[in-house]
Amino acid sequence: SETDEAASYDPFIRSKVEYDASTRLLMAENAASTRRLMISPMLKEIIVNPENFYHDCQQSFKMTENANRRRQMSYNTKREAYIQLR
Amino acid sequence: TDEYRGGRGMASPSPPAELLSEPLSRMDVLSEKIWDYHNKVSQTDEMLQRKLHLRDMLYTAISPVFPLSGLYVVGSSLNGFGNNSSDMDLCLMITNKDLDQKNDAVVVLNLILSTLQYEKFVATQKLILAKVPILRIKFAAPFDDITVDLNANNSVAIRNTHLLCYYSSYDWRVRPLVSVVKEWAKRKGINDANKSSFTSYSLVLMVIHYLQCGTPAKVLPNLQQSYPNRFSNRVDVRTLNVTMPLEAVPDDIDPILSEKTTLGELLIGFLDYYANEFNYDRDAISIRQGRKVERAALAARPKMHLNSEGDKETPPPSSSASTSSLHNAMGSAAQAMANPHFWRSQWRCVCIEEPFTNSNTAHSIYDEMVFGAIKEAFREAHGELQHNHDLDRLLDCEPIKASTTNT
Repeated sequence: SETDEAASYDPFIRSKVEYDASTRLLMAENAASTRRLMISPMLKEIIVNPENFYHDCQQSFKMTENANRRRQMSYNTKREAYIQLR
Repeated sequence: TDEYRGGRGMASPSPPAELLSEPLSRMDVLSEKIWDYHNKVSQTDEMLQRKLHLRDMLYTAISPVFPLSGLYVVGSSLNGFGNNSSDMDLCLMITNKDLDQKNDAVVVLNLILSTLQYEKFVATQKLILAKVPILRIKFAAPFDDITVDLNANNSVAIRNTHLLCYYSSYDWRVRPLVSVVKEWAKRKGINDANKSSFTSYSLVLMVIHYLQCGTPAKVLPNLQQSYPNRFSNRVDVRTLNVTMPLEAVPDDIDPILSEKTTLGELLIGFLDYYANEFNYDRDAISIRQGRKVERAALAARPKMHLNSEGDKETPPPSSSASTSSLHNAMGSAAQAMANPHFWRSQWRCVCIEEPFTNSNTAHSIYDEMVFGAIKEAFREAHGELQHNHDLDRLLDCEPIKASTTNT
């Protein structure tokens, strides 16, 4: 929805819903059972006690800015090379 | 303008006098054409922005179910070699350990599938079961032109995206060269892993390898060797940050000599290298070592890295630095090596070592007929381009004839 789109640019705002550990585990068990799979002890640990893997170094505004800077840099270096070769 | 290049710490020696007295070549028509072509097809800021926005929307939808997880953009969308086609590969990170891809990853992706089905911006989803299973997601307007392939915790993709990003902007000629090579390979029908030819990733590694050791003067260094702390597979993927410039360290690249080879000459040289110089039967490509290596040596040893001193082992394939997964990797590598079918299928025809896992990125080329046609395509393209320097004619080509069906 529109509101979600706007909020998504802020890494610290997540959706309003957040499930507790037991709900998440139940959801995972349902997902597993539809494919006749099991929740391994390791996956259970990940679901119940999640660790922080947030993409802090890959935040969107940083990535766009970086891509732009790298492009600008290659334009400049190309120009310098052109001048040098002449 | 040198900040992402690094490796300029030492004053480079002056070029020999005979080179200085040589008449300077001007930027030729072929080089300009390659540069223009690249600028026409490479990923625009707008496309990148839309992709990142979509990633953020997906993260908002996924994070209630996987709180604190990370959703990383991997592959050509972020490694600097992207064109404006709109596929985006994503990697959902939830653990530092190796996630079992047969069972656990499928459960994770299936849970995401059921979560995303209630999102209005998601149009269709398909769970594709492969060695690394992926969830393929298509979207409603205005994102209906973008397809996302999402994997669960296949962190090696984050590492090689990070490495390739620095190679792509180390020298301004790298990206245009890759753009044209990819397009030529696509039109020639040899950029399709499903048809037993090269993946785009393999083509990029081939270009980097050529620029590391096939050119008259070196264009690219070995970044994994020059910056072991930045590009080792011990580094936690959460800390990989492409906005951090490379600090300058001494290397063996002479910028003045290197710049003497024009972009056009590099393209001709690339085709020449893989048409006439590279010995496919004997050699394998290793970006990690910055040179050709004997394929027998690559294929025979277990999938483990030895560092330059040869005394310490670096951690195994997909990510984790934990010792337990080190043993697992050794176990599975030993198993794989004991299986002659694995050996043959992995290391037939073309050998390109993945810089972090030591697997062969060109393992899909197992068909001798296709392989023969690929080599012929390189010879033909080199002959033509060397003769007429005409980029349009190079790209106006017919796909190779050989296909897996008629062998």
